[in-house]
Amino acid sequence: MTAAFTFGPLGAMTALVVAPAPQMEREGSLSRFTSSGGVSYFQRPRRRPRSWTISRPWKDQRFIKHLERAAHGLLGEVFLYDRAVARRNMLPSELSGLPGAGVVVDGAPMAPVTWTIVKVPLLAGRLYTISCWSPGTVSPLTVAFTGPGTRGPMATPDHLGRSQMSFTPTVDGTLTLTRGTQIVSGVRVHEGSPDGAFYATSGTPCRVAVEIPDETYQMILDGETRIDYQVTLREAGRTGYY
Amino acid sequence: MQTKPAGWPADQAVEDVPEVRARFRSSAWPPAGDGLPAGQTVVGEWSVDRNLTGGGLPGQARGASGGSIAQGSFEFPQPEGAPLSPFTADALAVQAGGLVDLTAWQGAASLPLGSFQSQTVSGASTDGVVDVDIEEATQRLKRPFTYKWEYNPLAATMDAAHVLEAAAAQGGYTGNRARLRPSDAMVFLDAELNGRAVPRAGGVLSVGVSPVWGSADGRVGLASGLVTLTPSGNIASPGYETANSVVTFFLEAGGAGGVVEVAQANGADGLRFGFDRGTGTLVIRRMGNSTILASYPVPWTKPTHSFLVRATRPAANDPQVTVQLCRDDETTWATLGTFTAEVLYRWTRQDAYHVGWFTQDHLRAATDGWVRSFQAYANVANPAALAALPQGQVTARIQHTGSVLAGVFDLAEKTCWEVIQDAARSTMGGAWMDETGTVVYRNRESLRSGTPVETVVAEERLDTLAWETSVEDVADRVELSYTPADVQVSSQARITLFQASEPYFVSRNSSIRVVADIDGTTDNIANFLPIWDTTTAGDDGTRMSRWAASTSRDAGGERPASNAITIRATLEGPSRISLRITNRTDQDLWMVDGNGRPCVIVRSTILIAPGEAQSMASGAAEDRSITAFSFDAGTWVQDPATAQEMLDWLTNQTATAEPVIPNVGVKPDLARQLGDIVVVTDEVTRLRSKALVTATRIAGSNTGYTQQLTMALLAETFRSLDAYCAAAGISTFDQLDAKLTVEGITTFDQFDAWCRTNLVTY
Repeated sequence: MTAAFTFGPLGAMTALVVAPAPQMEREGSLSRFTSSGGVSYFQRPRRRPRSWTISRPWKDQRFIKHLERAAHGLLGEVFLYDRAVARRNMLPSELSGLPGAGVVVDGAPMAPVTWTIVKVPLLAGRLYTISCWSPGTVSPLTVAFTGPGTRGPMATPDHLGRSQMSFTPTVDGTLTLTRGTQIVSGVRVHEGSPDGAFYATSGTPCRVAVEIPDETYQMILDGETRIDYQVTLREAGRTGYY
Repeated sequence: MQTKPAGWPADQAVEDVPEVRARFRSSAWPPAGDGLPAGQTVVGEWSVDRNLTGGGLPGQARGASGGSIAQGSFEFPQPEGAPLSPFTADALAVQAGGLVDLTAWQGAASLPLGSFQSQTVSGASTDGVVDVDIEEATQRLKRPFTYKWEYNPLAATMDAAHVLEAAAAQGGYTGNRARLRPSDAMVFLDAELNGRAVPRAGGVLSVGVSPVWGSADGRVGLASGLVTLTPSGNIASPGYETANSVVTFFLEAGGAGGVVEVAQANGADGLRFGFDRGTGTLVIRRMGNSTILASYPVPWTKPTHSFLVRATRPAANDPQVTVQLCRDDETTWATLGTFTAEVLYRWTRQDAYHVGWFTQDHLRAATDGWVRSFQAYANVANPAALAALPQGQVTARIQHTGSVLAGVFDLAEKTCWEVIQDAARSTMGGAWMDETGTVVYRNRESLRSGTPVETVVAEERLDTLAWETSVEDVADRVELSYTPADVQVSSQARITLFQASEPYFVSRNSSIRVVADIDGTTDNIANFLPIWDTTTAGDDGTRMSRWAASTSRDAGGERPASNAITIRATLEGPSRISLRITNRTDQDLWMVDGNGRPCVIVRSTILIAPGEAQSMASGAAEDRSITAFSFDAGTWVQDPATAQEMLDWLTNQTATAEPVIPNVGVKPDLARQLGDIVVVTDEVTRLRSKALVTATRIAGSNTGYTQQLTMALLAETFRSLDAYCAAAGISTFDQLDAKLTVEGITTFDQFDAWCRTNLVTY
C-alpha cells in the first residue's frame, strides 16, 4: 500500500500512514498596499513555507520510530514526500518555468527555464512521467536515472509542443534532467501517467524540520503501549535543490 | 532612477516580492549551496535609508543639498547546528567591518541596493539569525585629501568640479572612460577637461575661446570654448615623425549640439576631425578651410559616446589617409574610409592639438556641447591591442558646479569625502553615493529642475499626501558671503610666503626639518640664496628665498661661508612647506642674521590666498528684517557673478514657502533613487508640481516590501520654460508671444497659472 506521505533521509524513505485529514498549512500571506484613492496593490511572497501537522491516535511505538529518531537529529537531513503534490508536479514552480512569454504551456505563455541541470529524487515502484513544452523540433531534455535502465533524450515535441516520457524505477534513486541550449518551459515531473497538463506547485520531496512529538498516553499495559502522537513537520531550506 | 535590467517585471497590480541577497566580499562564507554561489546568502528582514540632509538651507531647499550616507540593516540565517560567532577560530568566525553588497533579485534579473560596510554584527547561539547594521562603504574616500596643482596663466581659473573629481579620484572613483593612464608610454597628451584645461600629461599652449564647463551624462566636461594643447616631450622620435605616421586619439563627446572638433596642426595647417551630433557624422576638414574632405556616418544613440580614432597613410609620400574608428565598448577597429588629403601633411612633435569648438570659417555654434577625456597617442606598435583595451568604468558622476575658483584653500587634514561634502554644501549642490557604488555630485541647478523621470499620481501611488511647511522656509532678508581669491604673481620670485619668527639652531653636520603652513596656495618655491649674496640673483636680497646664519644667536657672531647651509624645500600640499636645513660645517650655527634676527625667508613666483570675505544681501534692511537667513559659501565660491546668482536663487526660494511632502508610503519601486525629479499630481488637492526625492526608505521581508519617500516640491524655473520652448519649436520672443496669445494669456498672473500646468513635465 502506498501511503499519502513518505518520510526519511533520501534513499531510505519509509511510508508514513497518518490519521485522516492531516492539515497542511502555509506561512506568509499577500501583503497589501492601499493608496489614498483606495487602489489596492498586492505583493506576493515568493514561497509560502508549508507545515504538516500529522497525528495518529492509539498507535504503538513502531509508528513513531523514524519520526522520533529524526526529531533528535540522528537521521541527518530528512525529507517528506507528499504524494498529493507529487501527482501535480514534483518540481517547484521556479524550476518549472518563469513568468513571461516564450513558450505556450498548456494554453498560456511562460518564459523558458534557465537551468542546465535539475535533480529529482524518485521512489521505487511508482510510475513517473516527465513532460515539458518547447517550440521547435529538437529533443528538449536529456533524462538520466541513477538506478538501472538507460534513459536518454526525450521525444521531440508533438503538435502542441509537448514531450512526455514515463517509466517506473525499480529502486529509489535520483532523476537528472539536463538541458543544453534548447528552449524549454513547463517542465513537470509527476507521479502518474501522462495527462498533457501542467501544474505549478511548491515541489516535493522537501526537507523538513521535525519537532520531538507530543504524546498523549492512552494505554500502557504489560503487553502493549498505545499513545496518541502529534507531530508537526515544517518545510525547511530551498525545495528543488538536493 | 536606475535602469531596470531585462527580465525585471514591469509595474503590475500583483507582483512578486523581490528576493534580497547579501554578498560578503572577500569571504568564502557561506559555502555554495541551495542554488546560490559561495559568498551569497539570502536575507530575512532588511531596510536601507537614504537621506539628503544638511546643507544649511531653509525648508524645501534644505532637503536638497549637502551630503548623504545610506544606512540600513539586515538579518541572515545562521547555519543549522553550527552558529556563527566571533569566538570560533575558523571560517565560521564573523567580524564587523567587512564589505557587503545587497542586491534585490526578481528571477534572474537584479537591481543593486547598495554597497555597505558592516558596522555592528550581532547574534546569539540560540537565535536563528545574525543581525547586521550597515552603512554606506565610503571608506576609500576617508583618506586625507592631497592636492597638487600648478599655476598656469593660460588656465588660471577652474570649475570647482575639478577639485571634486580629484578628491573622488584619490578614493579610486573616476569619471574617465579613457583606456590608458597618463603614465602609459603611448600617451603623450592627456587632458581630462573636467573643470580645468590644464592636461595631466602635456601643456596648454593657448586658450582660443575661454572654456565654459557643462555637464552631460552626469559628468563635467568642456561645454564650449577652444583649448590648444601641446604634447609632453617624452616621446621618442621615430614613431612620431616618420612620414606615414599616424595620429591616434581618444575622446568622449556628447551634449545636445554643435560639432566637437579635434584638430592637429602645425601653425596654420592640419586636419580637423569633427564629431557632429546633429547629422550623426564624422566630418574631416583642413584647418582654415570649410571644404569637407571626408564625411562618415557615426550615429549617436546615447547622451555621450567615446571615440578612439586613428588616421594612417599607406606610404611616405602618399596623400591618401585611411580613417578607422573604435567607439564605446568595441574592441576592434572599423575602417570608415579613405580620403585624399590635399596637402602632404606630416605630423611632427611640434604640433599642437586643438580641442573644442572652432570659430573659424565653418562657423559652428556650440549649444550645450560637451567633450572630455582627450588623449593622444604615439608609437602605437600594436593598434589591435590598443583597441582591445576596455574603456574605463565610470564610478564618479560629478557635474559642473558653476563656481569659478582661482585656488583651493582650507583643505588641510580633510578627508576626500569631507572635501566633497563641503563643496556640495557650499555650492548648494548635493553629493552622495548611489546604489551602484558611484560617487554622485549634482549641482544646484540639476537639483531644482530637469526632466522628470516619473509621474506619481497620488491617488494611485501614495498612501496619503502629507505636507509640511515651516516658518523657517521664508526669509525677508538673505545674506550670502563668499571669499574671493587674491592672486599675486611675480616672475622674479619676490612674493614672500613665509618668514621664520624664531631662530633655528642647526648643529654641526646635521640637519633640521621645519614645517610651515602658508595662508594660501602656491606651486613652487624659489631656490635659497644667502641674504648677503647680491650677485647671483642680481639684486639686494628681495628676490629668491633667502637665509642667513651666524655662529652666535645674538648679534656679533661670525658669518659662515655661502655654502655652509643648504636648504631644500618641498611642497607637501599646496599650503604646506617643508624645509630641510642642513649645516655642512663643523660649527654649530643659528639661522639668524648679523643682528640676531631670525632669517629664513621663503619666496615664490605665485601666491593665491583667500581674500577678505565679501557678503551681499537682498531683501529688507538688516535692522528691519524679522526672519533673516545667511549662508556662507566660504572659499568654494570666489567670483561675484556666481555669488550673485546664488543669492538671487536663494531670495527667490525664500520668498514663499514651498511645502515638503514628508515620508509618505508609495507603491514600492526599487529603481527609484535619491535625487530623482518626479511629477506629483493629486486630484483631491489639485496638486500638480515637480518634486525632488530627498529621502528614501526601503524595507522588506519575505512577505512584502515597502518604500517611503520624502519629496521637496520644486517651482518651475526658466530652464523648464526653455525646455518647453525647445520642444514646441519656439525660438524667438515673437513666437512665444504668438503662442501665449493663442492661449489667451495677457497678464503675469495668467502666465504663472499657465506655467504651473504646462511646464511641469519639462
